[in-house]
Formats: sequence, structure tokens, C-alpha cells
Amino acid sequence: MKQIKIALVGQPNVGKTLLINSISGSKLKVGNFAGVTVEKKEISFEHEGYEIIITDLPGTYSLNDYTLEERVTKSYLLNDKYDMILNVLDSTNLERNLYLTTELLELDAKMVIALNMSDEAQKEKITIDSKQLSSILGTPCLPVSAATKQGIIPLVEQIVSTYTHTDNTLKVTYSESIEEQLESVQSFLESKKSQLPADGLKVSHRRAAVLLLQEDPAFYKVIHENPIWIELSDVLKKSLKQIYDFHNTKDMLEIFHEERHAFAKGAALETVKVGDQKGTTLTEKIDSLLIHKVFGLFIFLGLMYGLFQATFTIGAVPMDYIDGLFGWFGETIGGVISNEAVRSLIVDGIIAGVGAVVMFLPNIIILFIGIALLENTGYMSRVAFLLDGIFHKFGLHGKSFIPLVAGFGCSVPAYMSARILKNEKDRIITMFIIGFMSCGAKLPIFVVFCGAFFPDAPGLALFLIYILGILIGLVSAKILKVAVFKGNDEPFVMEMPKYRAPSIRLMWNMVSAKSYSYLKKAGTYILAASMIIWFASNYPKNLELGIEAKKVESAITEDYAHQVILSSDLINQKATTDSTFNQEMANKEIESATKEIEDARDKLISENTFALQKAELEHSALGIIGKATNWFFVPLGFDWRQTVALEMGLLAKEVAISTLGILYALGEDVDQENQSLPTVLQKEVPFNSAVAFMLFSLLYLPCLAAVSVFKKEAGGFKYVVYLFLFTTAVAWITGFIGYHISNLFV
Amino acid sequence: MHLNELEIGQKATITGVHADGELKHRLYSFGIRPDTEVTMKNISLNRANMQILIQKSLTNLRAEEAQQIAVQELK
Repeated sequence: MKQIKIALVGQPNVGKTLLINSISGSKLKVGNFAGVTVEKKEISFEHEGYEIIITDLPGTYSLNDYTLEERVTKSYLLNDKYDMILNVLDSTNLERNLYLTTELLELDAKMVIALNMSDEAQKEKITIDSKQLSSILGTPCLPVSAATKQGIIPLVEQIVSTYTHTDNTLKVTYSESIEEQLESVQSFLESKKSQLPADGLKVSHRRAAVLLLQEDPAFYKVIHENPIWIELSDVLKKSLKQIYDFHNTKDMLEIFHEERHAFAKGAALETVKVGDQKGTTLTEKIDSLLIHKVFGLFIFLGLMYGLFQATFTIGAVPMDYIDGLFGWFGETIGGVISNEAVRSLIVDGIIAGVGAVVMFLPNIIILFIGIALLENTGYMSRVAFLLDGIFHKFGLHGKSFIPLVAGFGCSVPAYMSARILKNEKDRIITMFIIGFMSCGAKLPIFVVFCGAFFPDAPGLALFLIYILGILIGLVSAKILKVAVFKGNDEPFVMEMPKYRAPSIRLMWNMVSAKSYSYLKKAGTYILAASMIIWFASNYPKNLELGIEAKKVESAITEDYAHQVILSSDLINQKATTDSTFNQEMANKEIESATKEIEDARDKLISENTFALQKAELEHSALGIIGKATNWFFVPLGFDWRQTVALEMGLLAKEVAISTLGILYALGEDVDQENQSLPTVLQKEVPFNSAVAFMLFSLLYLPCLAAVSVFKKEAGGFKYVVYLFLFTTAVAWITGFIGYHISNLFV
Repeated sequence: MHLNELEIGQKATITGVHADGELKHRLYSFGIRPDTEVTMKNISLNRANMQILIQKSLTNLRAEEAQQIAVQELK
């Protein structure tokens, strides 16, 4: 089937993604542009025997710009292979949109223009003479509405028609002064046709002239090699001087800037008619409340609170189901496998690990839905307006709020949602401090330690820890901004689009794509982490320990069995000698005495088992590593047990508490509800080390799954190294300070 | 007078954009250019951010960016 490859270009918020999603039978594919953290969406569908593939390029205001997304778009348009450009415009804002169109026209590619949002234009009494516009621009312009699906079929038919026709009548006309010089350069090139490379310049003479006058570096490099260069450069010097003199500036970029604006303005003036406008639009009315400097803030906080409450309450229901399902699954499978080691690997390692990831999915889906709603309705830009004042003081961006708050749940979706920050610096700095927003998996650690070491006010202590995390995050962001990611701020100025009802279809696409991506990424890494934890904490197995423990257990069992017999005998004897003591009473006494003895025996056996588990962990790979690295934590007052717990936490935070449980000989099933752990910790861990431990846990590197997503979003392994050094330094220093300051309070 | 000094509801005409390269370019592509009319719509806490109406579009910018835009108030 013949393929038509289309580059979809448009300014932000013109609805181009919704437009192509509205084409019936379209299939979406999501990926990344090579080597950069910019999403690439491709839509494909069939029409009249053609397979049409549309690459949705990031929205940009112009091609000359500096942001990553704009560079990606420009690079694609200049270097990639495609058959035509589909330029989508917002009909209610034609003049501004036409600036980008003018730049696209200069590319000399086949083009079709979609005047989107024509339904809104109609409501706002804006009429566009699309025929006139088509003739001015030399390319077909069709009114469409992605929302109502009007005009989509004619658009698709126009695409096929433009593809099959070979003529190209694209035209941008600049002002007289420029056109004159273009003419002169063009005729020079014409006269030298024979001396140009055999396969041509790859662009038309007019385009070559434009590139030369614009002093385009890439084209200059090419033409420099050519023998005509010497004469050409003379002609150019003359032309450029004429232009500089006329425009009173040597800034060619600015001159062409002006030219395009003039062209766009002219085209808009000729084709757009605006009827009588009513006073303020609905959007403006809503904004006077939603971004009122006081009420707006309260409303926003209320909405956020509602969203996160919903995440927990609504999310909890499926979470319980999934937990139960995996538990049942684990037991069932476990029952069928006879080999102890294999069963442990599959049930405790793989099934438990995967279950942990899938369990989070409902919460994550709700979070993504919330973010999609914020963006699609246009409210996200209002959030930026309300919060930028305070966030910018700390080197962040108004929108940083969203990923940071998401980090309180789980860092994995938080890193993914950092994509809403368009500026690289803002995005990276925000990502660096997301880890300080204490994630859900760390909560058990704080619950146990606050309960153990701040028994009079555990809730207050917990709250202060969270606040401390936020404060350290903000301060670090400021430091990073000033010391590391220095240089001028990228321009903040951003559009605040009209409020619009969200498109369910679009949101569904976005949310399902992101959720699938989370499942794949987090799934693989948490699975890997679970297996590593399982392996490194169970091996190498010191078989002697096991044998020894079994011996002890047998001895205890034998000993107590003996005691049961002795005690029963004594009681029976008593029954025969004492007449007031009949057999029935005797049996009852035997029963209770036996129970007492067996309870004591079970307690000893448990202690023995726990001691075995502790010893096995101590001798396993993780235990050995923990002891070997303990020197690093000595100034913070940790002993090897806390070190091992922290290092297990590198793989998955929720494992830290159960590890402490094992290492303090309380068995494997310890969680934050366990009553004995706080007591044991209180006895064995000094107050100042406990404080240091909590601080370190709060601030150090996030878990393996989160770090792997971080690597993908930040764009490279070197950032992971930086993150590791950064978080370790902050955690260590804070822990150290905490260790010494808490001495004052003991 | 500069854009950041306007109060809510005030209208003005832009007389000059005294910003450098990237910022100037970005402002221009939003239609924030000399001889264009602008209305101040909303101001955030501490006058940190401003919402303006320009060429029928609502735009959000930081005070330090607005400070580089010279305006002539319209009575």
C-alpha cells in the first residue's frame, strides 16, 4: 500500500492532537524522538488505498526558537523524510498562528492547512475567507472542527489530492526591499546554473536565495565548498548591505522576524472579519474567580485536596482486590511447587514483587487522569499563574507543584509527570528534588520510628519530617538553580488557553498510554529489584546455621515434650491420691498445663527461628555488604543493621522495616503494625542514631524503579550518578547534623 | 511606564520591547510587540505574575518579564 507521510505542525493548544485522533479508524503509537526526552506520537489510518502516517510534532510558536521541543520540531522538518506538512491553526487567533505558517511556507514542502476550531470561531462571530487565504498562501486552507468532527473528511481528501498533484505554488512575499535583493541573488544563481553541482542545490533558487540572505549556517557550509562562492559572496555582501541600510539594523534574524509578522498580519487583515464582540468572554469571567489572588488559591488547594483524597479512597478499593488476588495466586502456586528454593523465588520474589507494582496501578491511573484533566481543560496554566510567584523564588516553576505533590504518593509517576514542565532546566531541577517529597513506601519507617522515639507526639513528629523534606527540597532547588543550572531563566511567558470541556477520547488515549508505560517500566524494574533482594538476602546460604538451628529446635521440642509427660504424670498421680481431685478435673488441669508448656516451647522455637533468620541475613550477600559499608554510617551512629536496612531500601523502600524486623530477631513478617519492633528499637538504638536514621531515610536515593524512570526522563545515566551523589550528600549531611543536634535534647 | 506597573482593568499600547534575544523573540511570537493594545486582566500575590489580554489571547508572564515592556497608558 502506498504510504503518505505527514508532518503535523502547529502552535500549542490549537487542538492538533485532538484533530488527528478524530479521524476515524486511526491508530496511535507513542514513542520518543531519538535521543531526547520528547514524546513522539504517530497516528496512522487508511484512505482510498493509501496508508497515511501522521507524525505529531511538539507544538511550537515558531521554528527559530530555543526550547528542546522547538529544536526537535525544526530538526524533524529540516532533516526527516515526509511527503507533506499538515499545519493546524486556531481559527480564533489567526494572525498569531500565521507566523508559524509563514516559516513553514519557506520550507518549500507540500502543505495543507487546517483552520481548526471553526466552531468556536463561529460562536465568536469570526469569519475567515478560506478561499482567499488559500490563494494568498498558495496552499489549500480548509475549515475544520476537531470537536464537532466537521470538515475532517474533506481534509483527508485534500491531503490525498495534494499528495497526488505535483505542482507547488507556495508563496511568501516579503517586503519590497527584501524581494529586490532576493531577485538579484536569484538571478546570479540562475546565471551560474552550469557551475552548480550536477544533482542541483536540493532547493529551489528562490529558497537558496532566502537561506543565503538569512545567513543560514547549514546552507553556508554547503555553498562554501562550491567554486562560485567567491563571486557569490560579493553579490551577497552588496545585497546584505542594502538590506541593513534600509532596515537600519544588522540583525538579519530580527529583519526576517518583522517580515514574517508583516506577511502574517497582512494575510489576516485580508481574510478575517470579526463581528460585534460581547464584553468579556466566558473564560475571562471564570478567570476573575479562579485566578483571583486569594480566592483562586483557596479554590485550587481545595481541588488538589479533593483530587488526592479521591486518589486514596477510590484507589483503595481496587488496590485491596489486587492485593488479595496476588496473595491468593501466590498461595495457590506455592502449594504446587515442592522445591523450597524455587517456591521461595517464585512466591516471595516474583509474585510478591509484581504484585507490589500492579497494586499501585489504580492510584497511578487516577493521578494521570487528574493531570490530563488539568491540562485538557486549560486549568494547568492557571495553576502555574497562582503558584509561580512562590515556586520561582526557589528556582522552580509554577507547574512544578504537580510532580512534587505526586512524589508524596510515589516517585515513579511523579518523574513521569515532570514532562508538563517544558523547560529543561525547570524539569531537571524539579526531578532532582522529587525524592525529598517522602513517598508512600517510606511511611512505615517513620510510623515505627516516630512511635518508638517520640511516644508523646508521634503524629507531630511525622508531620515535621514531611515538612522538613519539603523545606530541604525547596532550598536544594534554589541551590541547584544558582550554582549548577545557572544562566538566564528561559522565558516563562505562556499562553492561558480558553477553558474547554476535556475530550474524553483524548484523555483516554493519554492516560492509557502513560499507564501502560508505567506498568512496563516500573514492572520490569521492581520485578528485577524483588529478585535481587530475594537472591541477595537468601544467599549465600550458610547450611551449617540451618542444621544447627534444626538441632536446637529438635532439642527444645524433645525437652518440652518430656516436660508435658512429666507434668501429666504428676497430675494423674495427684488424681489417684487425692480423693477431692477426680479424673475430670485432672484432665482439665492437664490440658491447661500442657497448653502452658507448649506455649513456652513455641515461644522458644520462634526465638530460635528468628535468630536463624537474623543469622542467615547477616551471612547473606546483603548482610556482608552491609557490614562492609558500615564505616560510612558510623559518624551517624548506625550499626550494621541500620546500614543493611537502608541498603535494602535502595531496591525498594517498603523493605526497610521488614529488614529491621529480621535483623532485630523479630522474624520476617514485621510491618509497621508490629508492637515489638518499636520496643526493641527503643532499647537497642540510641536516640541520636534514630534521628539520623530517619533523616537519612527521608533524603537518600529513591528506589530502583523510581531511579530507572528518572534515568529515562532526565535523559541519561550521568544524571543518575549526579542524583546519587546529590541525594547521598544531602542525606548524610542532614543525618550528621541531626545526630549531633539531637544530643542536645537527650 | 512599564507593563508590570499596570493595574487590573487598565489598557495600554506597547511602545517598546526592551528584552534580549530569546525573550524578545518569545514575546513577539505571542503578539507582544510595539503598537499592539494590551489589557491587564489579573495579578497574582505579590505582583509576581500577570495575566494580560493581547490580540484576543490571554497570556501569563512574570513581573520581571513585564518590566521590560514599555507601554503608554490608554485613557
